[in-house]
Formats: sequence, structure tokens, C-alpha cells
Amino acid sequence: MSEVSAALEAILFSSNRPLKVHELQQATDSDRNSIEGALEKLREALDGRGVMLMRHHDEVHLATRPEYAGAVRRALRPEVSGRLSQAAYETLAIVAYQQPVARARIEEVRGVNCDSVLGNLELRDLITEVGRGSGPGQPKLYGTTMRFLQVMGLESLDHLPTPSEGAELISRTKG
Amino acid sequence: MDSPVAGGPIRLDVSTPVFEGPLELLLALVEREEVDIFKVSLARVTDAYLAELASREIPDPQEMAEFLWMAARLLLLKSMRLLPGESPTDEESELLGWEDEVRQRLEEYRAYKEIAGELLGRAQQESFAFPPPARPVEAGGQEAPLDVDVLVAAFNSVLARIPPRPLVVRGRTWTLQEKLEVITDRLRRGPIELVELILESHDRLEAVVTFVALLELIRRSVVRVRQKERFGPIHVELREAAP
Repeated sequence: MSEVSAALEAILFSSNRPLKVHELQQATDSDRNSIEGALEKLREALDGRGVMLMRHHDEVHLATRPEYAGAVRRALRPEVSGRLSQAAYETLAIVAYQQPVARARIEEVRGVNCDSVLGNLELRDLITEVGRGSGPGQPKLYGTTMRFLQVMGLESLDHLPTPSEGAELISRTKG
Repeated sequence: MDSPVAGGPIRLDVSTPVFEGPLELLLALVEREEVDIFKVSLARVTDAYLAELASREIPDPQEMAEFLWMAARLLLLKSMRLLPGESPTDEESELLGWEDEVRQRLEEYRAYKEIAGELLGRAQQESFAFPPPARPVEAGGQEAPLDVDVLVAAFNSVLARIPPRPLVVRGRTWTLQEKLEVITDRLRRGPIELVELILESHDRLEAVVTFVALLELIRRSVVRVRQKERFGPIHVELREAAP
């Protein structure tokens, strides 16, 4: 592991919030490419370890591997957050795969009004406004958060589950 | 609404008893009929749809309207299927297009439902990935006693930014004791930059009292000041054991 990778590991270990790539650039006085390379090396070095490198768009963080969530829970007894409804998971799934996505599109897929569900997910910091659409009224566009990856125990959005059926339907609209 | 089907259709046996919208209900019915959404005729599930609708209480008129709209289209579709051979009118052609579109939507909705199920599964396994906890990183840099010259220089540079006391209005006069208490109180809420602390003064006299009070607090070892780098901001904070 390179020195920059080790420095990044130290920074991420000390930080209680996700850091943006440009923050890591400033801290280590490196350009974007060397940060990306160093992150990739760090990710590989953490393979098989208890913590993993988490990536959400332009933000990175360390987190415990989901396999050991039970052990962490037994040791530290962290607070358990409230459960989500089926409607919330459906909405979350659509946001995760179609982000940035407007409310109208989510409602089109689910066929029902999603106002309160979206508000609830936003309140729990699982989704957030990531921009405004260009259509009439400039609708809010939703995307997932780092917290979403943490709650689901995902290393990155690339690790989202792939549906067995209708996969092409979703991947077509993904991104 | 009366059940439109004689003999009473079999009630839908699915795990979710409440359907959130017409699409979800239709999907459940279609899936019961046929695994491949693109093979099933929507007309065939019309009866079951109507029966399910009749057995439900939908107090919200808008929601009811959405269910009924779907029901109307299904009924029209079914009537077309029952009378084959006629060449379709414009409206009927449009309806056939609608059926394809609904199938697409159902397929897409089903795919997301499946993913939602997997996400739910992950959440139920509590496969949480815990981020590092809040961890105070001690600020480095020069510890107290900081050179008083540096403090005085910082004070002078900020003093010029505070307006002189207006001649007419008599501002309140601060005693050193008052300021000692105000600053200690203020620092209990967290460290503050020296410049900001002094800029909170309303006039120069108050700034001077604030500064003298700060020096007094440093002398009494109640607070300490740090400067991370030369010419950088000077931070004032309470010492841990401070009362």
C-alpha cells in the first residue's frame, strides 16, 4: 500500500463524516488521479478485513463490514433505528436505481402518491435532494445518501442487488 | 359496488392484504394468473380486480377514482376481447396500446418490488455498516503559554475594526468581573476564535475589557489559547478542569 493510501486510511479512520475526494486531495497534496489510485489500493488492501472502504458518488468513508454487524452490535449495543414500510423500500429502490429522479417518475412506477414516503425517507437521511429538474416547476430530484449505504451495508451503489427479472428494464434507466 | 361476478370469485390470497394503488393490486392479480406478465391478458383479471375492489373500503375519493379508472379500462378491454372480429375503432386501438403500456409498467414495478424485498432483507439481517464514531482529534500547534506579544498584535489588528464609542449615546460599562463571567460562559459552549470574541464588543472600551478579562483568565489557567500556524487564527478554549 502506498504512502498516500496509508494517509487516506488514517484520515478516514479519524473522521466521523464522509470526506469528499477534493478534501482528500487537499489533505495529502495530491491530484485527483493519485487519490483515485490510492483509494483503489486501499480498497484492495482492506479486502478480507473487518472494515471496508465505502464510496457514494464523490464521498468516501470507512465502515465496518456488514458481515460483522452482529458482533459490533453485541459489543457496543448501538441504537436501532425504526423499521421502514414496504412502500418505503419500494420508493428507496426506485430512487437508488434511477437517481437523480423526480417524484413524478417514482409515482409513475408505483402508481400512487409518494409525497409522505419521500418526506419520511428524507427525514431519515436515506435520500436527499441532489438537484432540480429542468422540467416545469423545476422539480426536486432525489438521490441516495451515504447513510443509505450504511443502513444497507453496501460498499457502493455498484453493489446494489440486481433483480433476477426485469433487470434489463432497470439497467436501461439506471444512471 | 356489487360484485359483478356470479358465483363469487376466489378472494385474492396474498401476503399483503392492503394494496397501495391500482397498479399494485393489478400486479398481484396478474402474477397469480401467469408468471410472464407479457403473456397474460389483462382482460382475464378484470373480474378478480372488480371483486377485490368491491371488497375494499376506500375512503379517499382520489384513491377510489384511480382504482375505478383502471377498472373502467379493464372492463372496456374485456368487452373488446369478448367480441372478436370487429375491426377496432380508434379508441379501441388506443386501448390495446394501453394494455402493452400497462404490461411494461407492471414489469418495471415488479422488478423494483423485488429489489425492495432484497433491501428489506438486508435491513432485517441488520447488515449495517458502522462508520467510525465521533472522535475528537486534539488540535495540534502551539500550546499556552502563547507569547503575549502575539495576543496583543492580534488584539490591535482587530481593535481598529470596532467603531469608537458614539459621543451621544452612553453605552453600558463593563466591569472586569462581568466580562470574566461572560467569557467563561461563552467558552462553555465551545472554543471560539480570539478575533470573534473581541468583535462581539459593541465599542472599543468593551473590547479592551474583554481582552484584559481574557488575559486574566489565561493567568488563572481557566482558559488556554492555541495557534496552529504562524499568523493563523488564535483559538480560545476552556481548560478541561475549569469550573
